[in-house]
This record gives sequence, structure tokens and C-alpha cells, in this order.
Amino acid sequence: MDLISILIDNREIQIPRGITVLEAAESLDIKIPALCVSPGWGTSGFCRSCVVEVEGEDYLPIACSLPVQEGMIIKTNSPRVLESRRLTVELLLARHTMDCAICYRNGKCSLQDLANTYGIKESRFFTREKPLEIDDKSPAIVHNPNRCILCGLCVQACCDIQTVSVIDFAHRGFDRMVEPAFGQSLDEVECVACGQCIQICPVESFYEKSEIDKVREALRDPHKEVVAFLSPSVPISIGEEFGTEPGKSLSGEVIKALKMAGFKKVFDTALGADLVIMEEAYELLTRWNSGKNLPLITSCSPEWVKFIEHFYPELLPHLCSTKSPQQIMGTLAKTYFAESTEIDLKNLFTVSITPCTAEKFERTRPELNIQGFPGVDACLTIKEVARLIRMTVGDSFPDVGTEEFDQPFEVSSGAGVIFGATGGVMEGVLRTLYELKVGKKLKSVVFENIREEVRTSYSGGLREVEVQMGNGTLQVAVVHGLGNARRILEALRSGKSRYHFIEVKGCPNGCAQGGGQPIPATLEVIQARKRGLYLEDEKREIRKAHENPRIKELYEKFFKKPASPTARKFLHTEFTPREHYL
Amino acid sequence: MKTLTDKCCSKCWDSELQRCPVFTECQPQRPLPHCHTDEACIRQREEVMNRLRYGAGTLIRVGMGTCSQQAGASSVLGAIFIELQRRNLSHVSLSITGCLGNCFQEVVVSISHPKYPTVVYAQVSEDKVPYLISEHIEKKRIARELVLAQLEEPGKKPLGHVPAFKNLDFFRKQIRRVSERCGHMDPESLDDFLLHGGFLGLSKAIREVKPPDMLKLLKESKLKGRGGSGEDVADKWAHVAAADGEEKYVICNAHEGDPASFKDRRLLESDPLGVIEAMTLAGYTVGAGKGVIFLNPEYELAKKRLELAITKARAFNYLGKEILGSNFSFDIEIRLSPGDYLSGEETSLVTFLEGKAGVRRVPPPLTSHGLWNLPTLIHNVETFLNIPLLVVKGVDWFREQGTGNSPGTRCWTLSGCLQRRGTVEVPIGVSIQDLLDMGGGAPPGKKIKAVHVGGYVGGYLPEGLFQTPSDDASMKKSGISSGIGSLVALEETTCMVHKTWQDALFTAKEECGQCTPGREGSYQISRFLEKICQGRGVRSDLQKLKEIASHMREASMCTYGRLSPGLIASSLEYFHAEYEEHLQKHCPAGVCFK
Ligand code: SF4
Ligand code: SF4
Ligand code: SF4
Ligand code: FES
Repeated sequence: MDLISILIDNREIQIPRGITVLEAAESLDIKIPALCVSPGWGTSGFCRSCVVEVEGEDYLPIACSLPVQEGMIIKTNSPRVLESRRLTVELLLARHTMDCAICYRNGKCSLQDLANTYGIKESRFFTREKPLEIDDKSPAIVHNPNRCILCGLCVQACCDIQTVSVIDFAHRGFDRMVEPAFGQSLDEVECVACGQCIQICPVESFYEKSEIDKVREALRDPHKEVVAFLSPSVPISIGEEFGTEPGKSLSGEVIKALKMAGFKKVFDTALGADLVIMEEAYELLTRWNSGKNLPLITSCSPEWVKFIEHFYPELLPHLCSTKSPQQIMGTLAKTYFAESTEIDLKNLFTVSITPCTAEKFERTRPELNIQGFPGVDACLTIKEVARLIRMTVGDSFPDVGTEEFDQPFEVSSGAGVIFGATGGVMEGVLRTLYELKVGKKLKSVVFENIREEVRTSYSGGLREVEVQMGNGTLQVAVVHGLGNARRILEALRSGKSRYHFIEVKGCPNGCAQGGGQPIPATLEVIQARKRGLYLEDEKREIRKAHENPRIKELYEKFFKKPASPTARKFLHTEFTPREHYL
Repeated sequence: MKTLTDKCCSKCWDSELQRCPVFTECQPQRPLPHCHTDEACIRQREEVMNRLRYGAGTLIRVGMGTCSQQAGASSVLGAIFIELQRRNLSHVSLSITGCLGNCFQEVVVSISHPKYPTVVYAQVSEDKVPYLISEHIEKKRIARELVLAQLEEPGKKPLGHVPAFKNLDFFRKQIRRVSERCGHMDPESLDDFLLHGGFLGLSKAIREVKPPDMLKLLKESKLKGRGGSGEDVADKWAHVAAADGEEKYVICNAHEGDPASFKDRRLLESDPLGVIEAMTLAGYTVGAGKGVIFLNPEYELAKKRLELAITKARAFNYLGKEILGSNFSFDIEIRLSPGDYLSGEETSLVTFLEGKAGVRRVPPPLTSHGLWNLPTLIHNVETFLNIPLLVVKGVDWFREQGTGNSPGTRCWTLSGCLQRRGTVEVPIGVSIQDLLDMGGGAPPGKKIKAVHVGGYVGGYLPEGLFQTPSDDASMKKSGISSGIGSLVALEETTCMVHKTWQDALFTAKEECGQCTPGREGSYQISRFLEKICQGRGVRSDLQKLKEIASHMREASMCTYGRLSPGLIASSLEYFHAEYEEHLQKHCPAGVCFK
């Protein structure tokens, strides 16, 4: 490797050419604040918090995008540098709302951190003349431009990584802000509610539209029976909000805490995932046998569904028509469960608890209503449910004790559990499909070559695998991140796709990096979350959806068999081509 | 032979398929002695040249630039045409020319005759046209009411009682190099351009100067960019020339976003082919195949003339494939800038051309990773125009003017409280006072208290510093940048605090707003100045203003952000007393607190 030597804060190091001063400093454990850098996503170079002094330059260059050069002499903490950073932060704070008390990011906010580090106590500067309007019209995503520090990361996330491209910078000078085209609301553009803007934002300028109040109102209402569906990802990440180690499951604790908060029942969304697997495996088998309408593409990621509806409506026939796991849970609750327990639908309030922000949008889809009632009445992200739990049991939540899921939706297979991991749907479906197709028991349920490491770079995110099934070879692809999904769709559109089955997760790294996951999420944390799901799978006795006794029972009693008219009526939905505005 | 570019006889072997290498040199001298020496050819060529200079006998040229059109040049042109018809003066031809720079004297009309020196008339209005024609053409005498000067022309006896053009106060200290052709030739005629030495630089370079030698020539010349940052042109070219890329770009930044500057507009309108030649030369040197003129959308006349120039240059192989028989190919397209103040900043410019609405990128440098991530050379109009001159006239000639570190000349736009406003070209380093003198000082009854130099990236200087030389280095010592070369004289009745506030507000609104110091810093500066101008200022505000200004200088993303605090910094430094008075709620100029 081509090494050069530079001097940082009087320490000489040999480093490869081409890396930035910021990376060089990190290798020496020298901390440089970098508000507009998100690891693996890049930097905009806008914030100027990472200025350093370089000998020979009369201005202060930025470490995040300055490539090292032979013989460079750098000071990262000279008084001049510190003064400049302090002023940058002070200037950013001047027009910032400073409503830390009601902000989710309080205590884990890059801006707040810097303000503390640089000892900013009072504001010596002018505040905003009048606050900008908050955009809260979307059912899922809120944007408060008054908190924005204009780092540009969300624009990168939305445009470059997700290629949804609904937000961008607008206006010049001090009127500059991030907003959808022509100052519309996120509700009026193709925003797919993926929440990647929330995840990448160093402050809380984007956040989920909270439904806590709605849930609490239902909990207070004596006539309402409030039931929760818990996504397998939730117990894995929720501990992060209470300081436990990332990846450790707190499933029983969450159930217990929810019960204490007033929920009557807590069901396992992974059971819904098992049903999806059943239906999907049958649909795949049918299409594979007939050779028609291939590839089949998964539809369990609501942001992905909205994406394809907007941008590739002509490819909708490729989507599997099965509802998403949470919507299946909603359906089960409002049909099977409501009937068997004789609850009036108007008194049954269902809450999906999830790592996803797009579900908040999904639940407003009219085609998913059941007898005029939405399948899911409210949707809480992990961050929201953590808040609800903290209100109820306080910080000692991890020690609250445990409880089990409630009947009749309490058993799920490992396949349903790993649903949220990238490649998880694929693996789950393959476990069932194999036995359906070949008629023999699988030797090992683990499809190692489908699993993958968490990506540090977002150019990846696509994995292609060939799976031998009896005398047939199944060509499959696993893709996550909408930008990557777009590439697959482009290939499909131009007739260059040779897959039978494609799993798509709208969020990069799948649900582990969902829009409703706790913040901050470093790559290690995301990795731990994913591992947590696979560990849960390993702990299960039942690892295949079709072996789940509850699933068998449901088919026996209610749906008859996969793809039966009843199954189609209740477990499937339809998609609508949506407008694509330019 | 109807035009210079027509073949004189069958001995001229130049054709579209095979170019004569000295085609350009041949035009004004056709035929070149080493080719053939037929009398008939010389006669024909003389005839064409006479027609170019004197039309059918006498040639009237009306200066047509944006400023003269605003002063009514089109109506004057029309009136002259009608007048000539009416009087049946078929030996008099009518043509147009560019702008001499003396905008305060528009409309300018010059009359050329083979026997007499060209006479320049100024402030000609429609109703004066009959008088002008009757006096000068019919009665053959100087139209006294309108006369400005006569040009000095070899072999012609000067007229009595008509001042020499070069002795006029506005022109005396000017050294016209890049603007030499402006106002003296028809900007829409290739023939006239060739007659005025056009394309000689390009032709010479292609025949005799290899690109590495071009770079050497530039290095020796010490030519500096004329866009405000004073960058070393040779360095920049060498970078682009050395950078790898399957394609390279040459961009002429003709955005000229500062409202107080229009010297580039004048050059574009008056010498569009000159710009084409210079860019092509640059392309030849750095190995670029594509040129882009990034043009201010308000410059409609310039656009029209540039389009025409490009068409003509293509027709004669000065642009296009295998230029002048060499293996160098180059072409130019015009792209309109979004017109806001800041899009002329180089990185924004490149990003805009790529279609990403003016969002600036961060390094690496544009010279290696510019447009479409390919090596890109960017200069403004004036910088480019120096190049052909340098090739034709050489380094020694070039360095005769200007300072040791920054040789040559520089164009300025003079405006504000002056008797004579317009654009001038002067040796680099003349003092602010010299420029003010060219502008004739304040009109009677008025007094100049300060100057605003360099627009929104410049600063203000008080009377006591008018002796400061105007070159980048000296300006920088006084804490400001000469920017794009604009000078606005400020009248005594100007409140410097209020003026600074208004300029700061403009900058704060017009800056791109990408980086924190630039965006938030200029916002705060404008708010503090507003506070002071409204009588709510306290002393510590001044300290904060200084703090923010120096922060912006150090930490902003681009040149604009680093230079624009020069406004507030120079204002605070040189007009401190006015700030003190404002803190006491008193505005010495009587502008604030009304
Ligand atoms: S984003 Fe950070 S600084 Fe802003 S209100 Fe929230 S916690 Fe406070
Ligand atoms: S939620 Fe996703 S699609 Fe919507 S603005 Fe954010 S990043 Fe873009
Ligand atoms: S919303 Fe957040 S991520 Fe987007 S520019 Fe503002 S601070 Fe950065
Ligand atoms: S982190 Fe380098 S400019 Fe923002």
C-alpha cells in the first residue's frame, strides 16, 4: 500500500494515501466533532464542525473531506480551531429551537453534545424571527425544519441511498431549508415513509408521527380492549433505550410492561410472519411450476410496496399479494379472535409495535380495512413504545419481570422470527418451500449463503444465490435498501432478470435499520440487532412455519389451506398504481 | 472576392478538406508573398478591406451594447438609416460596433472616411441625427455640438480643433489590451475580427507553440486570474493539463453576478469572437475538447452575438474537428446560468451544469475533478482574453504593464457618485484615486467620502486610503478583495452603517447557504447591523460582528463565504466613528433613525 507520513497534533503517523484527515485522526483516537458525517454514508462538508489547522493554509480546512498529503502538519485542537468550532456550534444553536426537554434526541444528540463540550451556556446571537411551519401532514413522518442544522445527510439518504428523492435543499441564503419540491408536504409527494431520514439526522428534525396519545386514550377507555402485536425486532432493540446491551432480547419484559400499561393481550407478530411464509411459499411454488409471472417479489415491507406503486406500477403483478405480518395480525385479531371472544369490533383496539415507520402509513390504506375498521388502529415504533414503557414502569424496565405471549397467537416459528433480518423472509420461505416441493425433511434449516454481514457501504445490499431443490434450481436474490431495489427493478423492466424469487427490504440492512429503531445505531449495533434475531431462531424448537401448531390449527379451522378462497379473502390484498410526480 | 475569407484566385488551395496552415495570417494580407504575388489578388483584397473600413465610401458605426441600447442606440441607428435614405446618401454605409466603455456618453457614433481620421460623436440622440448627418456628411464639417474626439490613424492628417481620443480624460490613463477591439469593430463580423488581428494567437499557437511551451509562456507571464481570487493562471492550466480524464472541459465563467459590474458583459458583446479564440487556445493547451460559456441569462445581446460567433468560427474551422488542419478538436456550447448572485462560484457552477441546482461540492479540486468529475479549467471572460495577446505579443510586452507580481491590465467598472461612469482598462496597480480621476471625481456640488471596491466580496475604503494601489495584493493588505473589479464611489451623504447593513442583507439572502459560517454568520451580521441601524445597538455588538466576520473568513466553505465578511470588517475598521455615533442613536449622514 502507498503509505505517506503526516503529523497530527505532533504525532507522526504513516497512513495510506487517499484517506481523509478525519479518518487519520480517528486511527490515533483523536476525536474531531463531525456533525455532517454518517459512517458509511459520506459527508456533505456543510457543517464545518470538523475544521482543523493545516500548516501553510490561512483558512481552516475541514477534516472530513480533506485528503491527507505527504508531509501535512495538522493541528486538531489548537485554540484557533477550538474557537472556530465553538462559534460554528453557537451559530447553529442560535436559530435552533432548543426544545431539548420535549425532544427524543435529548441526551443523545450530536448538537447538544457539542454545545456541552464547547461550553455554550447562553445564546449571544439572534434567534429565528418567526418559526417555520412543521410538516406533520404525513401519517408517518414529521419534519420540523426549525431543528434542522442543514447538514444534508437526509437528502443523501432519501435521494442517493433510497432513490426516492422527495426531499432536497430549497432556497438560498438564510432561507435555505430541506423540504419536498415546491414546499409541499411529505404527504403530497412520493415519500415512502421509510424513515431513513430520521435515522441519519444528527438532531431530531425528522421524526415519526407519534401515536402514543391515541394509544393512551384507548388504554384509558374502559370499553376498549387494547391488544398489541409485537414484532420480533422490538424486544431485541428496546433494551438500547434502557442501557442494556444491544441485541439482547427482552421479549418477556416487554410483554409484562405492556400488560402493566393496560394492554389486554400481547400477540406475536412472528405468527403473522409464519402465515405470510405459508402463503408466499405456495404462491412461489405455483408460479415456479407454471413458469408464469416470475419472479415473485416479496411484499412484506410497506415502504417497498409504496415505492413500487409509485415508480414501477407496471411491475406490480410480480408482487406477492399476501398482506404484511402486522396486517395479517390485524386481520386475525379483528376476525378470528374477535369472533371467538365475541368482542364488538368497535371496542377492539389493535396496536402494532414495530421497528418500522412505514407501517404507520400502511395502516391507513383503505383496502386493508375490515368491516370498516382498520386492521391496525395504531402503530408504535420501538422509540415510542420505549417512551410508553418508561412512563409506566420507569427506568427499571429491564428488571420488570417477564410474561408470555397470549393465546391464541402466542406461538411462532424461528422462520417467522428472522423475518425482519435481510434474507430472513427468503430463508423462512425456503424452509417451507423445500419440504413442499421435495417432500423430504430439510437436513439443515440454516441457509448460510443467504445470510450476510451488515453493510458498511451502501453500494452492496444485493445478494444472489442459487438454491438446489430436488431436481430444480431456484434462482433467488435478496436486496435491501430502495436504491438497490431500484436496480433490480430496472433489470427486470428491461427483461434482464433471471430470478424466480426476490426478497426486498426497503430499509438498508432491513428492519435492523428500520425508520423506527432507536438512535444512535452504529454499524455494530445494527449487527447486534440482526444477530439477536438469529439467536432467537436458534433457541426455537419450531423453526419452520408449516410446523407451527397454531398455523396448522388456523388452516384447519379457518383458512382450509394456503391460497384457498378464504385465505385469499383474508390474507391477501391488492396494490394500487400511484402517481409519480416529476 | 466578397469577403476576406473568400478565395482570391485558384492559386489559393485552402479548402474545407485541407486547410492552409496560414489561412488566418493570410486574411488581412492576402496573398502571402510565399504563396503567390498576383496584383489582382492584392487589389481585390484591398477592396474588401476598404469596404469593411469605409463601407460604400463613408462608414457610420453606431455603438450597440446593452448600455447604449438602454440609452436609445437602436432608435439612433434607425434614425440614421432613415436620414440616409431620405437624403439619398447611397455612398454612406451604416454598421454597428461594440462599446468603448464610456457608458456616460452613450449613444456613441463614429464616422470613418478613407481620407480623414475617424470622428467619434457622443451623446447622440434620435433628434440630433439630422443635424449630425447634415453637418458631417453633407456639409463635410464637424458636428460641433456632438463631437467627442478623433482617432489617430496612420497616414491620415489629424483634423484641427478635434481632441485626440487617447487624450480624453476618461481614456488617457487607460491601456486597452483585452478591450482594444471593443467599439472599433463590428462584433458580428468575422471579417472585421480578422482585420483586427483576430485568431492570430490561435493560429500561431497551433503552428508554432506546443502545449508545454504554452504552459511555459503562461508561467513566465505571471498572469493572474481576473476574477477576484487572483489565482495563478499557469498553475491552474498546468494542473488541468496534467490531470487524467477521457475528456476535459474549458469553462468561461460569464456569469458576472455582481450588480455593480458589467465589464465582462461589455467584452462579450464587443468581442465575442475574441472569447471563442481564447477558450479554444486554452482547450488546445490543456487538451480539452469541450468548452462551455456559462452565461448570465440577462446577457441576451451577448448570447446572440456569441451564438453568431460560434457559428462563424465553426464555418471556418476555428471550432470543430481538427482545427486549422491540426489534430486538435474543440467545440463550445452556451449554457445559461441561473442568474442569482452566487452561481458564478466555480463549484456551484459545475454542479449547476451537471443539473444539480447549484449545490456545491467539496474538494477534490475542479482542475482534476470538475464537470462530470473530469478535469476542468474555469476562468472569467477577462482572464481568457489575455491569452491570445500573450501568444501574439509575447511575455515581455505583456509584463510592460502592471506590477511585478501581477503584470498586465485589469478592467474596472466605475459607478456611483462620479461624473464619468463606465468600464475602463488600466494597468494593474493604479491607485483607487487614479480610477476615481478617470471617473472625473464627484459631480459638481457633491463629494466622495468612500469607495466600495469589489462588490459583495470586496469592501469599503475611506478617503484617506484612496492612494492604495488597486492590485489584489495591496487590496488584501487593506483587508479587502478587489473582487471582480468594480468600484462604486460613495457620496458624502451615505451612511456607512446603513450601506453595510443593506449590502450584508443582500449577501445573507443571496449566498448559497450551504455552510454554517457562511449562512448563519451572514444572517447574524445582517441582524446585528439592523439592530444598530434601528438604534438598539450596544457596544458588545461590534465585538460580536468582528468575531463572526473573522470566523467566516477562516471557516467558510468557498471563496464567497471567506471574502464577503470583508464588507463588515472594512466597514468596522475604517468607519468606526460612524458606528460609535449610531450606538448613541445618532446617524451623522442623517439616514437612520428617521
Ligand atoms: S435536536 Fe438536539 S439540540 Fe435540538 S432540541 Fe433536540 S436534543 Fe435539543
Ligand atoms: S421517509 Fe424515506 S422517503 Fe420519506 S423523506 Fe424520509 S428518506 Fe425520503
Ligand atoms: S433534517 Fe436532519 S439530516 Fe436533514 S439536513 Fe436537517 S439536520 Fe441534517
Ligand atoms: S463534519 Fe466535516 S464539515 Fe461537517
